[in-house]
Amino acid sequence: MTPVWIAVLAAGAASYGLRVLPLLLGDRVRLSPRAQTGLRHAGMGAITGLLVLGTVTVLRPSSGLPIVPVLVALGAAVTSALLRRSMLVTVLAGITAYGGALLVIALGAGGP
Amino acid sequence: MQPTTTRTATSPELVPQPDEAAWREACAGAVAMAPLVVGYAPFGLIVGVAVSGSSDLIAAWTGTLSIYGGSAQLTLLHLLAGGVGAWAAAGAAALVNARLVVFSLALVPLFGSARLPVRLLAAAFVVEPTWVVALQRGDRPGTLSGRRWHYAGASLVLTVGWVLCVTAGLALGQVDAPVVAMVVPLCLVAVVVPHLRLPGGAAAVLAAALASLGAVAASAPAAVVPPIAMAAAAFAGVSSVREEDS
Repeated sequence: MTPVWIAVLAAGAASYGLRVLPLLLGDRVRLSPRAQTGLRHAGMGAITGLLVLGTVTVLRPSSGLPIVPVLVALGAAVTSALLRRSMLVTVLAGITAYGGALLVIALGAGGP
Repeated sequence: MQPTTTRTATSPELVPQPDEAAWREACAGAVAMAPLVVGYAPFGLIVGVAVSGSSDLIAAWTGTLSIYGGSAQLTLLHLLAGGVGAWAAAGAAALVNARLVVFSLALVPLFGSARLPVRLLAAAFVVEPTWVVALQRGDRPGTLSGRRWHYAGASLVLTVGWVLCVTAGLALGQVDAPVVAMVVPLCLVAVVVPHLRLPGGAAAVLAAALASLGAVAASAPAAVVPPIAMAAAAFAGVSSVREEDS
């Protein structure tokens, strides 16, 4: 069994256990508000970490992506998300802004 | 109108048979879930791209159903790719999914009185979108069994849609286009930004971002960044809420 199988099955079993426990034990399971808050924030912390890593990766010259359009795309995505748009709209906003920024740069480079 | 139940000679177990009203509820649940599935599609594609980069494609893809949480699966695959051990990666992924306890607790009024097989099955689909749809259905009049069929329809559509998106992302991952890498932060922005509105959410996200940037600046291995960010977010989020309360 490969490490990926071990990790996937162990994480799956643990995740299922976390889901099923409250439904099996009903009202006997109680988490303090502080614990509930901590659990919610911890999960989002991991995603924020991945976001930072993903952003750093695309901003590195080795990514092959131009920096300014990437920043414009991220700005558009943040704005869309702040306006409570769905994930699909947010991603499309980012991609559209990226394309728009590339076009503006290309037109600027080809200008007088 | 309640779903009818039948008792057979060979099976003493009461097996719920969906009647017309139950089917209507299940279909309504499916319809309610459809826009959420469309909204989550880019995230599914990104998880699929991460699956395509795994050393064991089948195992990594299986996580789509066994872990049933894009954030946890993405964290797991990222940590494994960074050389973290299987058990440590599984522990981190389980911690990311630990928030689901909160959602599962919120569903106790819906499933707490259900038969054991129903509770075991329902638990497998507890995740943000199903929780949201269940809450919305709970705000409207109806029977308990009707609400459960609604949850079942929503869960089915989410599962099929999610698996399809991840599988499509797996195919997309084979395309060596730098722009695919750019979609990852765009998706994650859409996941993280709504968290800013929760009590303590802004402090948690800011602390996680600063901790991550610090780790990157210190040339720490990429695999340790998510656990560091988790700890920072939990501490800052809880501290912030406590300060607001006092």
